[in-house]
Amino acid sequence: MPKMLSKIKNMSVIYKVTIPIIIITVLVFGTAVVYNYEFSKGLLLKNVEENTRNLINSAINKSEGFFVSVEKIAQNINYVLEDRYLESQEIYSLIEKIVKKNDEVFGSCLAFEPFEYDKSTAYFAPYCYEKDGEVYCNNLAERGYDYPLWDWYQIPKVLKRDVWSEPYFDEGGGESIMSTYSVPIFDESRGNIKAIFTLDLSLEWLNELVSQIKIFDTGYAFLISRKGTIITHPESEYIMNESIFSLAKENEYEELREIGQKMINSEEQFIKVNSVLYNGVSWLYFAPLSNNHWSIGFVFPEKELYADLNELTFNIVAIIVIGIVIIAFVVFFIVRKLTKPLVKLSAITGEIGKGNLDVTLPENNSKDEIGKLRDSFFNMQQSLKEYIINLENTLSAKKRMESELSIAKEIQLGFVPKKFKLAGHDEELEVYGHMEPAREVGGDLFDFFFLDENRICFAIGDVSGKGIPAALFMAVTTSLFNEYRNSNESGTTVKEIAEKLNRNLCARNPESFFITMFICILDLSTGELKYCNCGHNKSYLISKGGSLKFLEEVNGMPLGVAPLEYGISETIKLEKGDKIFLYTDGIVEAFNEKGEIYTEKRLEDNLMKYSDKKIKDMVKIISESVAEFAGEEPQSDDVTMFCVHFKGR
Amino acid sequence: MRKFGFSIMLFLILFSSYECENIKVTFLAQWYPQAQFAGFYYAKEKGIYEKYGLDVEILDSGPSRIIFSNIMPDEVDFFTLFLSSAIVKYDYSYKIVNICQLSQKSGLIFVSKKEAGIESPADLAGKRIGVWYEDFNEIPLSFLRDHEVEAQVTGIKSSIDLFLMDGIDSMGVMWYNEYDQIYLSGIDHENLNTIFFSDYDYNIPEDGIYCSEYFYTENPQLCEKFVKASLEGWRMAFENKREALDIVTNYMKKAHVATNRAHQSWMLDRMEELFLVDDKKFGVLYEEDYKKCEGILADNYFLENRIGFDNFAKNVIED
Repeated sequence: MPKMLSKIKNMSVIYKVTIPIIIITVLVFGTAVVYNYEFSKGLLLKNVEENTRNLINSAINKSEGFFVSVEKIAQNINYVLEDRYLESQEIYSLIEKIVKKNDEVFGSCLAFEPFEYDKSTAYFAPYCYEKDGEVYCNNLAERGYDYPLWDWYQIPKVLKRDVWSEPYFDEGGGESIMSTYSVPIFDESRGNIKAIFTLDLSLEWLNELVSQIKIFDTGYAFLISRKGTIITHPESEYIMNESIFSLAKENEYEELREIGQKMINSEEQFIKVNSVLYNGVSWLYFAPLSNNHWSIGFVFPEKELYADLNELTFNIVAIIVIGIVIIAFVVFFIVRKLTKPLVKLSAITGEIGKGNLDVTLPENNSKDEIGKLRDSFFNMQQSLKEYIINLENTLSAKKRMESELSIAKEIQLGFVPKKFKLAGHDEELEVYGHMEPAREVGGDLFDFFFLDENRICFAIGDVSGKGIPAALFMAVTTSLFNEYRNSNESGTTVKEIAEKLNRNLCARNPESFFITMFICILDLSTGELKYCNCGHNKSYLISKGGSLKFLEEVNGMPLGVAPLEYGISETIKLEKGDKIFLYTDGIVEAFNEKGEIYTEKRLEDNLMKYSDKKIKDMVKIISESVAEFAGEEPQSDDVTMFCVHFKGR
Repeated sequence: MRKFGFSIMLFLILFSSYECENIKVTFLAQWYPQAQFAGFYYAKEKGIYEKYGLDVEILDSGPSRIIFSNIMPDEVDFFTLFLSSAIVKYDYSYKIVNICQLSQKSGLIFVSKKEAGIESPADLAGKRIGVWYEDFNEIPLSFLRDHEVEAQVTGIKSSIDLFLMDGIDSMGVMWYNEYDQIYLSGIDHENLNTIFFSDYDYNIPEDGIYCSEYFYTENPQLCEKFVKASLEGWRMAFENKREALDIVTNYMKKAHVATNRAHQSWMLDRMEELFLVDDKKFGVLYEEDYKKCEGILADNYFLENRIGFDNFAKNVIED
């Protein structure tokens, strides 16, 4: 699913526009077609139902006339027999007349109850029938015909009402489907039945009537008897052989049996049925012939009912499909035309992204959103060009400054000694210093030089402030300090050096910078160390045994503040192996990301711990320890150390 | 002269048997062609009779061609009858013998619509009951008498229409025939009550193959061949019902008898149930069945003299 979403996200705008339009169009038209189809189906069905009802009912009405006329014949006989006693000859001629005068009547009988007509004769049943156009008459009883047991006699007699027999096929007589209508003739005075009057009727007309009912191409009507026997049906094999129930059983089609039961119960219905009556889904309407409880059914296949509608719907769907294809093409091309400048712009933006600002934007004279976008791109391109020119200028200025600064750094580093070889004094003394400016250039310094054969002067200093101004001030201080290098003035003291330096600095210090300094002079012959602390932090004497001594007396203000005198310098006597450690506050005030500071304690511990190391290594270790302590935190102040190892003569 | 005559006879016999291998015989069923006689049609159509050296002519049958009523036993070689009818006929008119008993179980029932409330023989009392008027009625009438049912009995020619139209409450019918016709007239099984005679100690078998005593005495081997071929026909018909039904349908069409597959199929299935019974051999008439039938008929005055099993039954396949 997310894969698909991303696929959709990455689709071209053309598809993003075209596909939803097509989907919505299909949905709208689809809904319309389905609604139209279903609604029309309902209408069609309603119409057809009405049509079918009308057709079947008109057929039923037509048949009513026949049944009424037949029943009238029977009634007339009843009246005649009620009126008076008829001679047997009269009865024969009456029946003969009935057969002759009525086309549908192929036989008629007046069968008397035993001993009813004549007390001495058991059976008397005058019967006339038509055969090959001639009418013949006889007494059924004469042929040994046991008529009281036959259905045509027995059923109306037992039921005491008129009865239409089950249909039968009469060979030799009507040569058609027949049914016998039997009516009991009552003796009104005694209240019993005295005879059964019958009419054998051809139902060919009914057959024709039913087979004439036509709807659609293959719709057909059929007739079933009270027992469900099929009387008329396009499938001639069914006629008189099958019943609606045998078809249901043969085809294991329970629904048809239920339909059959409704039909023989004289019900009326319009329902949908499956197969058997037709291949596939079909509709069935059935209604009873009121007089004999037979039922007429009409069935037609659904596909014919909906054939026109299906064709119409098919055409509409075809038109819609073609329409949608056209819509899809039109939308596709419009969107492609609209997005063409976008595609070009996107390609050009790529070029611009690669740094080619001189590519030409496509021409677009329209003032629509895409035109505006193109103009915005043009403006952006121009702005970018300007910006890049500015940037290039700024960059070159910065580069220049950087290169200058790095030169300055080199120069500044040149101010502090890099070589620590003391020609001719290696046996007596070792010195080592290290400076790490916080920025490119710093305000710390250290230096050393021999005043004469025995005396070495060394100092460490820290200019107030940082950066280039502090560096320049440091440079000034260093050059002033260096005035004593190899001066060979034997009487020069630390105090004098400090005071002179102070005076010179005060005289050329318009910006009121100042510098703290720790200045020392060591007499190698005696081991006497004189120092002057000009506002600098304390320094350490690391005795050979590893104990620390603080050189913490302050002899005056930092240099450059005011041309004052400095106090008496301190003097201490170094033993062979002692070390002097000078440093700036960049070490002890270094802090880490937690805001903790390095502290003098940590420095002192390290000095004691590594007291027996060579001074170069000690300085390196402390430098690393500070860097390690600060971690990722940028260096806040210049870190400078200077160490002297007195070995003595 | 006698010698000459004998020689001619011998010649004729030899000649005829040489010329016409298959012996011509005639057969008549006791009713219209239907699945009740499927085995005979099957044996004829599938050449089983021929295989046994018989050329069987199956005569048109139906209510207008019933043995004793309109055809005499000497006009036909073999015919079928109900056991009860055959015993009665033997007693009253003509010596006929049972050479094969097809049915081993009674197919007779009293059927009624549920609403008549007839669930046992006692419920028949006071009801209007239809029983066949002429033939086949000895057992239903005896059944009613033996169960001391006082009812209004109406003779029925053959159709079920009076029952369907509620002219009678119950009717004695064959389970394999009319009962299904009633169902196929739209009345569901669950709306019908049945009283099976076999459930009330009245299990009298029905259809059997008969011939005149004279014919049997003269042609015992022929009888045996006909019975064996017919039984084989029946067995094959039960095994190939689809084909058997096709054959029956053809016979019914030829006789212009209304036919449908659903009904004939039901009938053939029922015949199988009535013919092939677990504890009895198909084709044999058992003495106890005979005696039971004879007893019932005698008790109910259908019989004047006892015939005796050995006189009546010639079980040709048992020998």
